[in-house]
Amino acid sequence: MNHMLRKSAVRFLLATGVLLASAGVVGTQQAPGQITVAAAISMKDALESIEQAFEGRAGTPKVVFTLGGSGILEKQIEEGAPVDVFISAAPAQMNTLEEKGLLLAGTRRDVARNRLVLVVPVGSRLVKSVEDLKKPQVRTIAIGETRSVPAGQYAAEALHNLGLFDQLAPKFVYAQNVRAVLAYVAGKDADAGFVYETDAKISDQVTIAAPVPDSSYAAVVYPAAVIRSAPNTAGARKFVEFLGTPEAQAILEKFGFRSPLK
Amino acid sequence: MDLSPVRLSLETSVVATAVVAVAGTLAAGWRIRRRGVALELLDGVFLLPLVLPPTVVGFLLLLVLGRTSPLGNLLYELGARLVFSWPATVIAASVTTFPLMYMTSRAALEQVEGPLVEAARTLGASEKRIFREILLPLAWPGLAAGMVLTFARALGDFGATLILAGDIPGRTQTLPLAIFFAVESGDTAEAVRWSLVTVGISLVALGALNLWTRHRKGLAMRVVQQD
Repeated sequence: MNHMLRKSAVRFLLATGVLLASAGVVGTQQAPGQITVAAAISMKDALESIEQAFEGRAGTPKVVFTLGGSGILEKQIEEGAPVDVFISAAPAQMNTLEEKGLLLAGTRRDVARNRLVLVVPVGSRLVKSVEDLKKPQVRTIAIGETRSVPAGQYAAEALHNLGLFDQLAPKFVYAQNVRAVLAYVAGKDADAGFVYETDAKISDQVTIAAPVPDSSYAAVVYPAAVIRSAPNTAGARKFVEFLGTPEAQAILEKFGFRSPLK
Repeated sequence: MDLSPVRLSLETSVVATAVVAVAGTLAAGWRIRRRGVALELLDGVFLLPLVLPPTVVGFLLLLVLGRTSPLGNLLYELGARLVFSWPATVIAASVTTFPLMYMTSRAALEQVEGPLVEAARTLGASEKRIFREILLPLAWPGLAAGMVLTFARALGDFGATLILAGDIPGRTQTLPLAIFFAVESGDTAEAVRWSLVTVGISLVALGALNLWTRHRKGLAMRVVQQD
């Protein structure tokens, strides 16, 4: 099974690579003027916009993304994936890499913040608050897997603190990343789901039913850092620094992220 | 230790193997007596689940059976909750394994077609009887091989199951899903434990299936010899 898993992971990476190559982004080799950024999939759209702004500047490397759940990305980096920059959707995965000495010292910084919201399919009037999830008509609640998916960890933390977790747990369907939660709700296959505010904004098939009370979970912070074994350390540093510039922050805010400083 | 992934994996694989063994053999039996361009296309459709990545199969199944599709909505109105339910694991495993059973049994049945079948036909045997009493017993080793492949593949299905059935511990979380989420959450010990269990089940089940099919093959040969 492990073998199969690895195979499917490799296949996924290959597919991603082929897609990027056909978009004309990847050369045939990891050229010196290129960096690989492993990033939480919830940042996909904002990062693509940031990439354009970054590459428009003189003396910057080309950026290639590998997007996925923060948990699997962290594992891949641990196993030696040739990644230059890691952007995680939660501090936990970054902390693990830091503890194992896999980050380039002094390069870690928080680049964005996000909020957790409860979404329902467009037109659904079943749920108006997190409390409403207790209603018997709410049969299925999509949530990121609570051990490996940050959005799931935050949601579980919030529900524990609100005293609702045990009561709602039988209704949970766990997803492998936050975009899968969004897809399940958008397709009406789940009655509600916990995603980030930024994810809720990209789909017109879901509406935000209620924010999750800020006080019920730790702040959703996105840390970025250069990986110690980065093939292109200089390029990676430039990219992480760029994420902190007003230009990049403005793009992040356009996509619904909040500034890490506020 | 919660053993539900083991139970669910076994239940899903056994039921999917049974469903696919019957459906695949019947489809193959129906197919070998016909020729035509349209049927070649149909073969392509039958083989699709093998060609497409399992994740894509799961996604397409979700599109067809999910609530936003006409069929999915009809099922929903009728009260059937397929998506995120245990039957969804069987559907996922059945669809991804169908081509294996179909191709193997078709090849096996085609091997038998010929003088023996013609003789039976001239002697007035119905097509149903020919299928039951000549084709099936003689094609048995091939059919059995198909079932072994089907079971093995069903036990390992991950992508289609995850997307159509979701990950619900105790309801849809089969061994491959349990292993995947254990790996993702960094719980190597649990991942290794489930992996070893999967290897164990595979060896025992395939061994048993092989023994049983050899036994059946013996019986089948005796039936033919008696005739």
